[in-house]
This record gives sequence, C-alpha cells and structure tokens, in this order.
Amino acid sequence: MSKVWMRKSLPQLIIVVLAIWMIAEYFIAVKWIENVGSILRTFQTSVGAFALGLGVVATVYQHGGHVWRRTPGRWFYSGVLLTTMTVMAVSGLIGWLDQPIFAYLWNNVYIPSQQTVYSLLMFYITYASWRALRISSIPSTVFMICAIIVMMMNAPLLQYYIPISTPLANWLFNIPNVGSSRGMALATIGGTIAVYLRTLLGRELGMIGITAGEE
Amino acid sequence: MSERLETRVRKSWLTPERAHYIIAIGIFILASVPLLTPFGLPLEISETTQAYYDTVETLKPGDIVIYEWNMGSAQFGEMGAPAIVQLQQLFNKAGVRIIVFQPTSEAPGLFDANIFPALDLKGKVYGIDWINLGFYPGGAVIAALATDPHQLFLKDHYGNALSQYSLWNDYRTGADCEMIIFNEVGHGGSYMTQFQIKWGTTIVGATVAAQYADCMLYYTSGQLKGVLNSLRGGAELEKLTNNPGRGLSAMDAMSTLHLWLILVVVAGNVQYFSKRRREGKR
Repeated sequence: MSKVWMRKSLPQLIIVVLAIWMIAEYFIAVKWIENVGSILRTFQTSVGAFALGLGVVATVYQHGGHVWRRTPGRWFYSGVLLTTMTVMAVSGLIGWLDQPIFAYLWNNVYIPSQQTVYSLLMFYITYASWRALRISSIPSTVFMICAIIVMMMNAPLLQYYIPISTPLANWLFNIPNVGSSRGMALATIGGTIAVYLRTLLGRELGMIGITAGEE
Repeated sequence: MSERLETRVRKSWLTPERAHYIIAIGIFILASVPLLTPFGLPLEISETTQAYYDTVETLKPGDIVIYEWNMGSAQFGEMGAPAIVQLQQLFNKAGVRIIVFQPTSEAPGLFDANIFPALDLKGKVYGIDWINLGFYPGGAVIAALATDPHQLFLKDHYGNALSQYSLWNDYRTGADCEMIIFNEVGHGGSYMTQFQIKWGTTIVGATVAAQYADCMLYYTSGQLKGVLNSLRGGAELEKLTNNPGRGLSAMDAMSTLHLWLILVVVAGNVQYFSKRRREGKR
C-alpha cells in the first residue's frame, strides 16, 4: 500500500465511516447500528483510560530525561515532580484514602495547594478591577456599571440593603446576556456543523496530523 | 515648600505598589474576619435557586436521579458546599434513588474525602437506594450512560460488580432516569444532548459563578429547570433545606469581599480623575 494511502486516506476513511455511524446511531433506532455504536463508545472510553497512562509515560520520559542529564535549573524540580508523582501513585494504588500517606498528602498538601492557587484569582481580579474598571470611555463605563450591579447582586448584604440591584442584575442576565449569548451560541453551532461537514467530506485533516501545506 | 517639592508630594501617595499592598491586606482582613466571627448578614433566595429547590422537591419515591460530581480540587472551595447540600437534599427525600457519577479523575477523591463524610445518608442503603459509579474517562461516557449503561459500566467506584445491585438493574437506559443533577463548570450540555432531547429528562444543576451567565441561557429557554449560582447558590439551598453548612458560613465573607471590590473600583476612579485633573492643570 502506498504511503499516501496509509498516512492520509486510511485514517480519513476510518474517521468518515465512524462519524457517519455515530450520527446514524443517534438518529436511527436500529438495533445492530446501536450495538456497534455501543462497542465504539466502550472502545473510546478504553482509549480515554489509556490516554491517562500515556500522560504518565510522557511525563516520566520528559522529566526523567532532565534528571538523567542533570539539566541545569530543571533537574531538581523534575526530580521533585517524579518523586511526588510516584509516592501519590503507589500509596493511592495500595489503599486509596485508607492509606495514611495518600490520605495525608491528599487532604493536607494536594487540595489546599490547588485551592490556594485558585484563590489567588481574587487578588488578580481585584487588581485588575482597580486598573481596568474606569470611567474613561462609554464602553468602559457601561462595563463598569454592569460589573458593579452584578457584584451587588452576588453580595447578599448589598442585595438586601439595595433591593434594586436584584431586578437590575436579573435584567442584565436575562435580556442583554441571553440575547448576545444566544447569537454567539448559534454562531458556534454553525461553525461546529461546518467542521463536522468538512470532516465527513474528508477536508479536515488537522486531526490526523496533516497540515494545509502537506495536503 | 518649593513648587517642585509640592508637586512631588501632591503627585500621589497612592503608588501602584502601595495600592497593591492595601488591596491585598483588605482582602485578607475582609475574608478572614467574617469566617472567624460570622456576622449573620441577611441572605435572600434568588429565583434560580428557588426553582432548583422546587424542581428537586417534585421527585417521588422510586424515582432515579443521576447526580454528576464533575469538579477538580481547585474549584472545591467554590463548589464543595453546593455539592454537599445538593446531595443532602436528595438523601433527605425518602425513596428517591441516586446514581452518583464522576467523569473527572480528581472527582472521586474529593467525593470520598470531602463530600461523603459530610453527608447524612438518612438510612439509604448502598446498592438499593444509591450507588457510586466512580470515574469513567472519555467524552462518550455520558452517551453510554444514556443509551447502554450496562455495556460500559461494569464495576462501581469500589470495584464491585454493578450487576449485583437492584438499583443498577432497574436503570437500563436514560428513559429510567427522572432527573439529572449536575455540579460542573458548564451548563450540563452533554445531558441535554444525550438525555433531554431523547427522553425529556429534567435537568437542574450547580455551576461556578463565571458560568452562571451561560446557564441563564438555558434556564430562560426552559432546558434547565433550576440553577445554583456557585457558593452563593449553595448557601441559599442550605437555607431552604434548613441544613446550614459551609456555604452559609462563607456568605458574610462573600458580602464583605464584594463590598471591598466595589470600593476598590470607586477608589480607582477617584485616583484616575484626580490624576487627569492634575495633568489638565499642568
């Protein structure tokens, strides 16, 4: 078989057949089509599980290389990453949350550190509000007023003492927000259908690693 | 005082560095003080939370509900309290059967360590009244849950065969599910496609504050019957179900921090206009 057939045509054929099959399975209630669709879904879930393993292999390969070569400025952090990953994986596999090391690391290191990083957003958002929400032009003024109304609605105290904030914020959410978001959602759906059609017609080759120039 | 020195003094004592320090200290104080000594500030129930509560209350004994816990640990501070009260409301309802489903790898750990210990099961028996499917990866997993769950889901989160549980045997397709309740960074779009369009399944859920506006799109169209707006929505549901928890205790801090944010915006504008006035005079 030619190189082009193996690299381009065969993957393209598989994608087109599977896409048509899954669309048919969704819309047509025929038992044997549904059965094959079911097998494909199970296969996809198995592939998803393998992807997690692939991620581990890629991480070990990348960071193990840095440790092995003693890459300046990197090998130490790669070593820490590999050590913590191994400890979490092994202790988790041994006894999940009944394993004291895993339970300790999960409850006292992993979750607090993730939440701390997420909480830093509060500082960034407040700094950004300080610098960005200014009455410097009509759009920025409208933006600032809307932001303050929504903040007033989200703060129980302000909502209670400034009752007008609730209907104002509801109006913002239900009219301008919904109107503009629906337009965007419909545009996105149109774009998604276009990509599906291109895929079905064999015009979308990016997912099999072929760029426009290579076509 | 020379004119040059006077200009330097008047220029602004509020440099960006100082402003950053003041903002940070303000956040720290206004977040920690209300958490340590709650003031008990008033909390109003929003329309979408009331709709959520009323919809869940329509569940009858024997109904099967799929509860999706789809959050990572970063969002647990925001979405943990809504998850606990969402599940508690379900466990409070006699006869309602719950299938817990977690399509994110981090979700089972959070469920086991942080959510499950906070729940009162109200006598519900595992396998009969509720089951935990645990983590199943892949985008097609929701489609499988809707159309042919017994093909893909063979074991529960604890490694036991699902076929031994009466609840799982009663659930054959999405048609057997009365309601989907989600807790995710989104609007439950996959459930609308795979469950609601085919079987008209009722969908309600909780989402992060940043996605609340997106959910309103589907709430106003009637596809979502109720929405909890992040921690705030969780606190409101705690109040409605008379089940005070982490959500309500965080509401005072929510109020003070939003007030601080508004003050920061006002102060930023005052500084901006005074700077413009100074520059205009010069």
